[in-house]
Amino acid sequence: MARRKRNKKKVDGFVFPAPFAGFVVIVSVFALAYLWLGSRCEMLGREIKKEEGKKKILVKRYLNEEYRWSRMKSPRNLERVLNQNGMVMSWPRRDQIVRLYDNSEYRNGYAKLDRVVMNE
Amino acid sequence: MSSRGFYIRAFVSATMLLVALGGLGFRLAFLHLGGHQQSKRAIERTIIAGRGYIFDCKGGDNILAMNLGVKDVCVSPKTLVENETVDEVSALLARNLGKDANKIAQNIRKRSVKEFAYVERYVHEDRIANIQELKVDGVFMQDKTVRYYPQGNFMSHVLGFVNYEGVGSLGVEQRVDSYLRGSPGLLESKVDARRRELYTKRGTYIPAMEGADVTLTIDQNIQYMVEKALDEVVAKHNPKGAWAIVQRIETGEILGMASRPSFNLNDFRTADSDLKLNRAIGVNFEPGSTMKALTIAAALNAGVITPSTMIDCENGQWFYGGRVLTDGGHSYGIMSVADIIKKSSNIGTAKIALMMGRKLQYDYMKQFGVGDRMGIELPGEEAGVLAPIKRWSKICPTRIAFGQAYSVTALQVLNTFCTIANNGYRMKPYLVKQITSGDGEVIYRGGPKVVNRPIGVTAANEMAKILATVTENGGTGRRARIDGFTVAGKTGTAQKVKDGTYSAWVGSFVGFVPAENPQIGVIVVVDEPEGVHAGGVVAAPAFREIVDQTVSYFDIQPATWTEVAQR
Repeated sequence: MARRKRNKKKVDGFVFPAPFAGFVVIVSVFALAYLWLGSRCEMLGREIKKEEGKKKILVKRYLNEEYRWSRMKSPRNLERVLNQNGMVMSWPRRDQIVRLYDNSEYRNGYAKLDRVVMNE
Repeated sequence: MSSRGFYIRAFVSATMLLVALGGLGFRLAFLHLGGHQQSKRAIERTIIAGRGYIFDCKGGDNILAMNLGVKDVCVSPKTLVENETVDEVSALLARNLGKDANKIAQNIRKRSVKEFAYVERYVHEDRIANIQELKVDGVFMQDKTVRYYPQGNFMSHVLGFVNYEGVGSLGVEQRVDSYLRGSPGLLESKVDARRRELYTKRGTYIPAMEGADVTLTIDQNIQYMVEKALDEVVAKHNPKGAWAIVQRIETGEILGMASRPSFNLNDFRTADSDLKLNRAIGVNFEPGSTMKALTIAAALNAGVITPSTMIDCENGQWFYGGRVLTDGGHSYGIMSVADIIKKSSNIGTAKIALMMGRKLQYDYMKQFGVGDRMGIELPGEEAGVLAPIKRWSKICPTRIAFGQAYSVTALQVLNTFCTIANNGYRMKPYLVKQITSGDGEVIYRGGPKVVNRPIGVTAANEMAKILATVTENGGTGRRARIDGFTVAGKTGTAQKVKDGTYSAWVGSFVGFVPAENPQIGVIVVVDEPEGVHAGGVVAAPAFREIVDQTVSYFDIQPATWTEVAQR
């Protein structure tokens, strides 16, 4: 009798109430999800900051290239480079120009040579 | 061990743990929820908007003004002195920056106890790439974003510059500053202990609205031709100043505008105010003979004269109102109206003005815009000075007739000629083609605008034919002639008051081409040239230089009077 009573007590002491266990599991899941989301946000935030930094550098490089390109193709620079290479260029006279027009009479996309009298 | 002792120890441990955890929890809550800490972590930053670009008429292809990351070259004089590398570093910096090594060394030694000194500010990184690679001890760079003008002193007076506060201070930069500047954004966020932004705590984020891009009507190739021609004038005649404008006749678009002396936009701090003056719109001068065209055009339109009307130009001298008027030593006798312009007779023009009457003369001048601003999108435009009739003396109409006793800007003179060339329609000159917002929407579009029509088509055509004779053999503007085209124009050699007397000269030439079917109007003004001062000698060659290249550039075709009449 006495033995049976002791065993019953021991079993009662280890019983974990099912609703409480469920509650603990849900809280744990939420906590883990929260931690995962938090770390994911943190990671994405860091990634965005990194990309922002990269963008800043690229914009700077782009502006620098635009600046160089603008300088290179400025009329003054073009003339300087031409002079450096011993080239003298002037705007063409009318009689030196051969004009090409869209030849719609024949087939679109084909050009027509306009033979100016001066070119003959 | 008794169970009582166990309970006491368990109770004490649990209490201690709870107190400790409670304390930590309280501190944690205080740190996180306390208003003081909150405000320390919170940041509010203004996001600076990038200033818009300025392009020439080709738009995005040709950048005239932009924002650029540059560097300030700095040194630590103390470090350099301690390392005994002052001379070595000065030589390196001088080589790359194009400065005097001794001066740099002197400045460093003068500040030998200081940790910081500028050597050169706003330097593009291309110039200092070597220095950066070497990583010299005591030399460092500071990053800056500034307004930069890729072509330096090109188009300086038109573009203007942006001052230290980021405000446009001259030219287009000033006039359309509100468009170019954009709107700043706002960032509200929190930072960590190292003041780094916690991205996840970012609250408000309003991105900056980038400044709008401005496209000008100016063509950088035409502008280059104009500036080059002016530089040649300056080199040849060493004038006090020289300026020129190119205008498209049909629309009033300004295709080129330059003024000398000039300055480097990237170094505006060192330029004094005289260099910054855009003389093309900011200087009033007595125009002289160029404005005879206005008098004659008005008289033709009013029906007072015809091109063939004969006027007695006397024998070189004419007394009127108790004063003598001369024709510069020439005795022209009786001449037609056309010849009066061709030979530029003061006496003939003065007599025509008297035939017209002062009221009509004044009214026409006002209709041509004399004494009023043209309204171009540039700050500092002068209106010219034209006294009201009630203040005119007896001889005033005779002097005003040939461009004395009143003053105008070069833009007004050019506009008068463009009006004649445009069948009498006066167009408003403009140089802002369009303004495009950061997201590509056109928020302003400049376009042709007729101001008024001072003269009719007949008078305008007759006047154009008369002006074409000026560049013929025997005319005063022969040097403005170009092959294959008829050039209509007028020379001006005006006296200028200097130190209280008429002792200096302003030479000018203004005209349009082709005379038969005008497309382009150009004016060149040379202020106080050394030696020869006649407009036909100092300004006409520069006019020819500009026009000769412009007609090729725009592929303008010559025309004949008959062809034009048949259209």
